[in-house]
This record gives sequence, structure tokens and C-alpha cells, in this order.
Amino acid sequence: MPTPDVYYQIDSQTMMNIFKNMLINFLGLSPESSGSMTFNKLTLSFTGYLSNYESEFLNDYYVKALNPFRFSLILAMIFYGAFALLDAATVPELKKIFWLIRFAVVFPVLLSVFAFTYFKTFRRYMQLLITCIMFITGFGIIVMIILGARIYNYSYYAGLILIFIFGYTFAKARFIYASLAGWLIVIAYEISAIWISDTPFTILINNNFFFISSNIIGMLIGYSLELSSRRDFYMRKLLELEQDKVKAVNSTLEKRVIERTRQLTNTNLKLKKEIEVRVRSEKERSELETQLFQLKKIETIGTLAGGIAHDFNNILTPILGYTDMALEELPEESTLRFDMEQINNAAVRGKDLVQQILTFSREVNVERKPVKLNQIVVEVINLLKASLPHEIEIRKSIDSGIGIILADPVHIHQIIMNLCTNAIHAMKNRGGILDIKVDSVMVDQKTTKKINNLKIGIYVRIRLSDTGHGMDRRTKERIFEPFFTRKEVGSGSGLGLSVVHGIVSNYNGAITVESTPGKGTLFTVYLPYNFSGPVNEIKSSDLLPRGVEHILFVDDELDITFMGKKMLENLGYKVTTKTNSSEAFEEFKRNPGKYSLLVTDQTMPKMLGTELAGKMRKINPDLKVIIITGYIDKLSDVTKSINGSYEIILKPIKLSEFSKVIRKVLDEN
Amino acid sequence: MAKILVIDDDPSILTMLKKMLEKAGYEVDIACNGSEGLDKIECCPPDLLVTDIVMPEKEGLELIFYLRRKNPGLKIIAISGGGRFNYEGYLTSAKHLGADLIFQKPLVHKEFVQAVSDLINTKL
Repeated sequence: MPTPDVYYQIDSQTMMNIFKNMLINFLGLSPESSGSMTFNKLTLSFTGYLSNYESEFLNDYYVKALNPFRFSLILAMIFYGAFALLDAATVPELKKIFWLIRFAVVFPVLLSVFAFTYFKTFRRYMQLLITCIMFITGFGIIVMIILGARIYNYSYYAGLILIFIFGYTFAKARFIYASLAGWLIVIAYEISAIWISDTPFTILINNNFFFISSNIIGMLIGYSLELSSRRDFYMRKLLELEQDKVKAVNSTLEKRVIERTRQLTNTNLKLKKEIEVRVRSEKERSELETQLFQLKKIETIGTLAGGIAHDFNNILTPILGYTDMALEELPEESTLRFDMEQINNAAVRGKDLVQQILTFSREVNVERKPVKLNQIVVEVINLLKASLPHEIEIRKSIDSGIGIILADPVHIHQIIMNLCTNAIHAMKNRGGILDIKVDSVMVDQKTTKKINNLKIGIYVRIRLSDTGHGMDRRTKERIFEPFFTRKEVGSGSGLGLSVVHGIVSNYNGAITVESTPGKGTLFTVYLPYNFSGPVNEIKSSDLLPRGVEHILFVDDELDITFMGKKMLENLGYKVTTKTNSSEAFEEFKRNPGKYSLLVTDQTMPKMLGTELAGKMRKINPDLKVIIITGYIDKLSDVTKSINGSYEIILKPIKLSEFSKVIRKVLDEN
Repeated sequence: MAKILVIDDDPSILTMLKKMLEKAGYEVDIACNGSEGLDKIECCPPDLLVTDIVMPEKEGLELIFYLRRKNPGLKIIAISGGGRFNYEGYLTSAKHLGADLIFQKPLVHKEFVQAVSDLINTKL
């Protein structure tokens, strides 16, 4: 007989384990199917971290169970009623009492509960009512069993099996309640079968087999159903949580995308600005180069012209000397006299021309004396008016605060006269407006970058514009070259503007020209404002408003603070300057009563001028404030930060305006 | 008769000035550069020196500078046709160095003769 290679020894322990595993799998209790769901194995209620979800589950269970429950009630009534036919067939003698139980007791109960399902409070009592219904319907059948036993009918126990089927499945009772009702029915049947109806032993055993087995099977089904519902709920919850997580991740992602987009947009903007700045500075550089080239060219021509002028003067000297002497000796009636006079006149013209060349090449001797610039401008205008065609209108706007500058009046006269003559010439055919504006400005670093020859400081500015034919770029570039002219032959030497250029350069000033063909031309002359001029000769009416108060002057550019200090001290004020807003604030905190006025630049690193003023006003509300800014459009945003009134000065600073505003602010109550 | 020494490197100017000043009644000597002029001053000092500035050998500014220390009583008129030296020009420098009068060439005849006369008659 062949011997098996392996003997399987199956003991009772192993059998138990196999059975247990099968049961667990059937009920759905295995870890694979229930995951990490924690619950009470008997009542099935959620425990541990899921206990918070119990009421939510019950609520959800109720919502889902309500309609199936109603349906099962209807079904129960149909079945309970239909079995009345069985009563009539099998136990006609008990028919009446059975029908009484069915239709007078059980039916009203089922109907009442059915009606009650439409009330809100039903939610709270649903499970309890299902238990009661199970028990009441079961109890009705038990009464019928007891009564049936009298006539040896023991078959009605099967009705209880139907009730178990209903109770554990359709009625949607929870496992624990259905089991309670089930076992109560079992107990009630045992009591009635053993003690009341005296059921024969074999029938009792037979019935109990079917009856208890169906109750246990019902329990297992109920257990499995509820567990399955709970697992569905749990899975749904897990899914919701995962969805929430995904949503959260999505939202974080969206935020990051938005943030990154914002950063990119900002970077893009910065880049654009940088490009703009570069293009601008490139343009400025190229303009400066052109200016410098023009200046060099003019200077070279000037040097050349100067050299020629020297020789010319030497040549003209004997011509003029001898003709003068000859004219002295020639008798009045001499025929040579006319010829000699012509030679002399020509030599004088030559002399004047050379004089102009020398002015252009800065070879003339400059004698600087106090000059009332405004007076000269008015003189020239009056002079011109006499011979001006009436199609040309002269407008003037002269800042009376200019006072006196150090210059040669002849030179100033020449500048204004030459520029005006040119302007009038440009408008002689169609008329127009000659506009002369005189004021003083504070030239800052920005302006010095645009115009060659200028340094940071205060300048008298003469702006002379016409509405004449204007000029193109090429003409504009050569306009200051000597002998360059667009006038027809004989109407000008071509030296006028080069002479103006020479004079202005000689005074360390600058001249610029802007022009649009067909629209007109604007000449701007800058002459340094000389503070160290002879104050004694200046009448009090020419003076700018002065004062003795202590002023705190703040600007992040050292040059500007230096200039501001010099300028304000010349007006008599005591001045403390700071180039850093924080330092200025510290200084003010130490001596809040010392300063009557704060003059501050608006655009500074760390703190805006208005912010600084606001902080200082909190310490001393009486502090007067003047804000200097280059950008008027930005000021509307900042007015909030200052508590109280303040004045604004726009860059470039006009000296007379500045001095007046300071006085006005200080004199305000 | 007052003595005038004229120094200029341009012979036509030199002869013209000599004639002009002699006509005005002065005794005029001439020199065509600074060194020659200085020799003549040392040998026979004039009442007035009229000197050009841009000249070979010894130029006018150097001459004026030297003479102002050596011979402070000498009256000096500087004349020049221009030429680049600094922003202020040669004549202004000549004035700073001690020239009593300065004249830009070409000279205005009457004005110049009058100035010479006034300067000679001035007691320093």
C-alpha cells in the first residue's frame, strides 16, 4: 500500500481557525475588506478615531433606510393580510380571532408607524419602533400559535421565520435592535410552546431547529448588511477626505501658480523698466556725445578763428593807423579823401568782425560787474519793439526775484539781442509770438547729465522761444558754428549765435536749442547765479525774501544738500543738512524745538519725505514742512501720511519761488 | 620832449606807431622784440613803453613782469591783437602784471594818442 509523502494532521484547533476565518470572511470582518475601520464587534458602532462619525453614519443610514422601511411596512401589511386566507383554509374555527389579531391589532400598529414615518421625530424612534413592530407582529403570530395548538396545529411558527426575514433585511433595522427583537420573539415562543400550548416534544424540537436557525441566519445577514453599510460609509468618508486633500493640494498649487505668475509679471515689469532706463540712458549718452562733439568742434573752430583774428588785428592796425594819419593830413578838398575814407571804413568793418570772432573764441576780456539782468532784458525788448513788424508779438515773463548777477552788461545785451534778432528773423514772413522768460533754477544732477557744461548749482535761466519756421536736426547741430547761417547773403554774418555761445561758455554757462520744423524754436540760456556778488550794490527790492529761522534740509544727494545749505544760508537762515532720512529723524528727536522748518526731498531710500514729515509732526505738530519732488502725479498718494498742511516745490527748484515759499510757510500761523 | 619806446615784432605796425607818435610830438625809439627793447631801456630809459605781447625772444608779459620789479616808475601801455592764453586773455594778464593801460589792436588812432598823452602827463 502506497504511503503518502506528507501527512496532514488536522486537529480541532486548526478546524476552529479555518471556521473562524470563513466566518470572518463571510461577515466582511477581514482586514482586507474593512481596512483600518474601527468598530465595536457586537454593536457595530464606530469606535476610536471613527466614533465622531457615528451620529453622521446614523443620520445617513436613516436617510437611506426610510423609503425601504416604508416599503417593507406595506409589504408586511400585504403579507399579514394575505395570510388571513390561510387562516380561513386551515383553522376556520379560529378564523375570527386570528383576523381580529391581524386586522384590529397588528394592522393599526403598522399603519400608525407608517403614518409616523412622515414626522420629523420619527428619526429618533425609528430603530426602537422597528424592534417594537417586529416584536408585536411576532407576538401576534405567537398568540396564533398558542391558539392553533389547541386544535393541534403547530405550523404557524413558520410565520415567525417570515418576520425574521423582514426584520433582519427589508425593515432596515440595525443588527443590534433586530437581534434583540429576534431573541425576544424566540423567548416568547419557547415560553408559549413549552408552558402555554404544551407542544409535543418532537414538534417543538423540529420547529426550534428551523426557527432558531433562521433567527441566527437572519442575525448573520443583518450583521453583514449593517457592516457593509458602515464600510460603504467609511469608504465614502475616506474618499471625501482624499478629495479634500486633493482639493487642498490643488488650491495650494493654484496659489503657487498665481504667486509664481505674479513674481514673473513683476520680474517682467522690472526688466521692462530696466530696458527703458537703459534705452533712455543710451539716448542721453548719445545726445551728450553729440553735444560734446559739437562743443569740441566749436572750440576747435574758435581756436582757429582766434589765431586768425590775432593776425588780422595786426594787419588791420597799420591800415587803420595810416589811413587815420593820412586823413588828418589830407586837406578837406582832396580827391583822395573819399578813397582814404573808404579804406578806413572797410578796415573798421574788418575790426568789428574780428571783434566778434574774438568774442566767439572767448578771447575778449571779461569785466564782470553787478548787472540787473531784468533791466537789460526790458531794454532790449523796448529797443526791438521800435522796429518790430506788427505781426510779431512780444511776450515776457520775468521773475522779479532774479536781482543782480555778475556779468558784462554788453555781453548780456549781445546774448538777448542776438537771440531776439534770430527769432524775429525766423518769424518775419508769417508773424508769430516771441516769448521771453527769465527765472532762476536749481540745476540738479539729472539736468547736469542732460546738458554739458552745467554743474549742480543755481543758474539764471533765460528762455527765448519763437513760433517761426524752426529747423531740422542737421541745422540744429551746426547752429552755433561760426559763419554758419541760413539767412540770405548780406543779411547776417553768421556769427551771431556763435558769439552768444562764446559768451555763455565764457561765463561757465550753457545754451541749448530745441526746435521743430514749422513750429518754432526755443533757446535756453543758463548763466551761473553768483551769490558772492557785491551785496552792497543790491537794493533791498532786488533781494529775495530772507529769514533767520533754523531749517532742517534733507536730501539723499550730497550735492543738493550742499547747494541747499549754501543757498539758504545766503538768505540768512541757519541750516542743518542730512543726507539720510533716519539720521534726520534722530537729529530731530534730539532737538525737536530747534527747527522751524523741514525741507525734504520726497523720493529717498528707507523713508519718503512725507513719511519723515509725518513722524516729525507727531513730535512737534507746529513744524512747518516743504516737500521737494520731481513727480507731481505721485503726490496725491502721499498726502495722507502728513498730518496737516505742507507746501510742495517742484524740481527744478526756482530760487525766487523757493525763497518766497519758505517765507510764506514760516509766516503762516 | 617825452621819450617813448615802442616794441612790436610787426615792422609795419612799428613804423606806423613811430610815425603816429612822432606826429603827436614825442621822441620815439623802436625795438622789434623784448630782448632788444630791454637793452634799449637799460641803455636809455624812456618815459613810456608801448609794447606788443606776442613776440619772439622775450614776449611782452615777461617783459612787463620784469620791468615792474626793476623799473617801477616806467609807464607801460600793452597792446595786443589777441591770441589765446587763458580765459581772461593776454591784455587782462598784462594789466594784472602792472601795465598802466591796455589797448586791443587795431588801435583807434585818436583814442590811443589821447591816452598816451594823458599817461605821460600823469604823475605817478
